[in-house]
Amino acid sequence: MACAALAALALTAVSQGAVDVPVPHIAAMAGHALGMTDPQFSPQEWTIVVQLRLPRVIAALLIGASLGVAGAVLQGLFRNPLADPQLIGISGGAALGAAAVILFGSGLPFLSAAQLPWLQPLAAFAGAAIAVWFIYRLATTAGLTSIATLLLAGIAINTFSGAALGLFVTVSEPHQLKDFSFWALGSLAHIDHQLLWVVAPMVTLPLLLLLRLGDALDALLLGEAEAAFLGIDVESVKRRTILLVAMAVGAGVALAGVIGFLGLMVPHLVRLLVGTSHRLLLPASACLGAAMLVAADLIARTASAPLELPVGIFTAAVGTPFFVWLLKRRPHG
Amino acid sequence: MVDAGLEARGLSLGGGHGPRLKDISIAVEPGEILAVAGANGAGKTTLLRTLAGALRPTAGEVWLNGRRLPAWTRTEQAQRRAVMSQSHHLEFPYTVEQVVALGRIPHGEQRSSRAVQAVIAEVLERLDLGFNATTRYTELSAGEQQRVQLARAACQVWLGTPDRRRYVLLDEPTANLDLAHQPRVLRFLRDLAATGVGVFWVLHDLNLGTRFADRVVLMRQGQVVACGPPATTLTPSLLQATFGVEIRVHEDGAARWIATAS
Repeated sequence: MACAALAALALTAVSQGAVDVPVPHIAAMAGHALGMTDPQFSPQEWTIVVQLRLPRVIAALLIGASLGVAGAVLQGLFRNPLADPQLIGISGGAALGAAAVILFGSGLPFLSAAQLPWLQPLAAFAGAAIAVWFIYRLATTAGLTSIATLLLAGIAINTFSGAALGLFVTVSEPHQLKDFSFWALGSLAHIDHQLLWVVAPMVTLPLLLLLRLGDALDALLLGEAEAAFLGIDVESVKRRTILLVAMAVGAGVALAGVIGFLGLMVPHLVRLLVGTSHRLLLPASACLGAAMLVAADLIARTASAPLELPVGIFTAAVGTPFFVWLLKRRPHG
Repeated sequence: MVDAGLEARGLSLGGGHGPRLKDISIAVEPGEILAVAGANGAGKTTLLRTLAGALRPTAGEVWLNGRRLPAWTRTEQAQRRAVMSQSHHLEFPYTVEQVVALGRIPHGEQRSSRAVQAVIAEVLERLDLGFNATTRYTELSAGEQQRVQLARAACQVWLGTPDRRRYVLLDEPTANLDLAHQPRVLRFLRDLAATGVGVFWVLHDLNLGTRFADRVVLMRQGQVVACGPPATTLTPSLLQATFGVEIRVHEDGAARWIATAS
């Protein structure tokens, strides 16, 4: 049922926009693409759907799912309901990595233009991985993660990343400027098709692998020592989790910049709906994260059409009060 | 030497301020309750964690059912040995049932399967948690949380495990229990032992130990002072050597009551 709802939402998102394309026309396009029917739609509609909306909705589905799962996995790993890829600085690290490629990548002599789309998500992955590793080393002592240190480490990384991006902006060429401004707010408006092809497997593969960690994350909630007594190889689970989250989140950031708070909100909403067990929590977070980002992006581009707002503004507008509410609700440090 | 049991063979463990365990050789046999007592800092929890494989001894070895502990895989160890520690905090509101079901992870079963559900229901019933199966763990009192963790550990070594020779290591499992639930938990441990489980029980109330343990280990400063049945170990002189204060043992028929002299 959740899948059907998600498909319906995605279809609506493809159909709606500055120019509405009726759903039957989209169905006709699908039929045409499979060589079954005659084209019953205008070439203009074809361009809008295939060139603009479809990549955008696919990107929203992928990034939304990755943020939902990343949030759920990080909250489980750190045993901390405030963990979120953006808050603790993973997205910031990824943005820094991707931005560095834009600024310096074209200057590297051994790179051809065809290799650039590959390099950007890889650099974002590296930036994200360094950020998680740093946070983990800083905030975790003897298997216990301090909530305060975790958030402070996130502030440190985000501040550093913000400052470095600011520096990049001041030294960059005019044509690079637009790219930089969008890392900070997150937007699905300019999905690079070539980049989407690279990013899609870099998001999908870690997500599928993360979904299999449900038992281990459940056991980890008892504490690292207890999880080990249940036969879990805690160190290996931690390493795998951190790498996979960094890859999924980093690739998403390379495609659409930093979209905040989704990873924080989605797992909490899912826990209210289906409970806390990770076996359900992880796939459900993927679905809800995908649905929420598609919906948020739909609002971002239709609310004040033809003007478009970066989707990150919406997620932050909803997410910030949610974060404050979570913070107030916690009885202890 | 017996080939069944969870054994410490000449265990020593170095620490920051001198040795934390010194040349300890004891064994929990399947089916017995072995109580471990001693003053705070005597090394009881350290011994438990070393037997469980969480701490690596600097000398000596831990043997499980006739093989060195590291020769078993993590999962094989977990199928034969469960641990209940002292801290029971959970960050997320799992239900009681879900927490107890975690004990079946090493057995690779579907946790929603009928067999697993039956085990969980029985363990919860015996520990007087039957009414709380779908309650959120985070809403329970400290004593109730402690019983849930005991249920989880018991579930891990419940029948249906590949080896009959299984062990639970419990760190002060009765610390937060009210008077009504103490005997219930202790009867539960007796029944568990009767199915072939060896119970390693770090104890804080010696009077419970005299009534329910088959053997008692007394520890002081990382060393074993005495090991044997309660009648031979819980004597005034050995207790004084263990705790460093004068202790009286009042015998009242079969029961013994232990109290400080002053």
